[in-house]
Amino acid sequence: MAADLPGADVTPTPAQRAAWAAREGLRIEGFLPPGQAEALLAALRALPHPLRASEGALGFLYGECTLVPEPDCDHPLCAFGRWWHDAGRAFVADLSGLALASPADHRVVGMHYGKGGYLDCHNDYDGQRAVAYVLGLTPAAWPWEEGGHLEFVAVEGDAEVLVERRPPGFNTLDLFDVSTGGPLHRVPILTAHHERRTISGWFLRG
Amino acid sequence: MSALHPRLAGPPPAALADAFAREGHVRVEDALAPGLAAELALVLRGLPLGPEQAPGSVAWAGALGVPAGLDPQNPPCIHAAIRLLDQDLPAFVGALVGQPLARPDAGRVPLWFFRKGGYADDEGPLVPGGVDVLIGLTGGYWPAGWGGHLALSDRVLAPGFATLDLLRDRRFAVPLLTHHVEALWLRTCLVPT
Repeated sequence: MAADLPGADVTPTPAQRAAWAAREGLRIEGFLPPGQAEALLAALRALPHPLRASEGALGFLYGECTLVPEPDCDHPLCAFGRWWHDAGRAFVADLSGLALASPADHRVVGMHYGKGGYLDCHNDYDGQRAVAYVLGLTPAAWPWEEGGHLEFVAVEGDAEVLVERRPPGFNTLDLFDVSTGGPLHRVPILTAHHERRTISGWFLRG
Repeated sequence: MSALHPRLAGPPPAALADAFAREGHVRVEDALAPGLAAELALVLRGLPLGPEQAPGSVAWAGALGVPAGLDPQNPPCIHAAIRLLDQDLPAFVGALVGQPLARPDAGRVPLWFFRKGGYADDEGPLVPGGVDVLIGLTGGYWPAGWGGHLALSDRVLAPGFATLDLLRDRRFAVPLLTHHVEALWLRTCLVPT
């Protein structure tokens, strides 16, 4: 039985479908019902996010907290995880027209970028990932010059060009198609003491 | 054999002692025995250190515990580092300040590395009244604007290679490192015995 997030509308709107069709990606504002994003942020702030740093070619530094939802647990992150990997995934599949699967453990991954946090340019492609998602849980705003915004880039000739820059959002949902090796994206280094919080991950090819 | 450069054998120059007493900071270039910094940098930067978050800092920090006594299975430079930290430096710096000094964390090689994203907003003496010691093992140069330098109130210094920075009652920072380079130090302190 699907685990319902009370009040969460799981049907894409015509505008959302059009946005996806045009760019294979979009940002949805006000995604979760009132109070839900606040509860998730509070829950994440109460959990340790050990720092992880580059272990191979991709450069990154951020705090990460991975939680595997338990079936009968009413913790906000467990409830969200059960819903997201059921009705949430169905929503994204409906929106994208892609057959999607969740990771076997239905994990919920909280990401925390503080001062110094960054994620170098990459395209997420690994042959299994289909749609990347970033649930924004960042109440504060700051200038893009201080880093921490999500940037999409492209190569034109010998030049790297910025295609789009999205500020950290609160109760926003960023989705983009990574099934065929794009788009290139990064989170530039945070140069000041800000707090970028998200729940991020991928739905896989179904 | 001393792990300090042979030219540092004997009493420290009076000018160096005067400068340290006056400014609370001196840097000695080419302070280590020939080749030691290169060997240490290679061995130590390959250790599986992860980033550690503390209030006002992100650094790749840790300490390599070295059992007493020579073990030929260890890289020789590690034993040289222990000799440097626990014998040669206390003697040299003790002569510089005119009082006997010792290291509280004897037997350990204390690592203080910065990679992209690392920083230290405001660092002070490790032990009040002690002499902070930074041994530079950074084999490259980059613009100060990239971060990772040693920033005191009145001077900014590149991380240094085979350098010895001594600080007393001075605060300093390591500005945010924004590029993929590494600033490597051994960081310890010497306290009056």
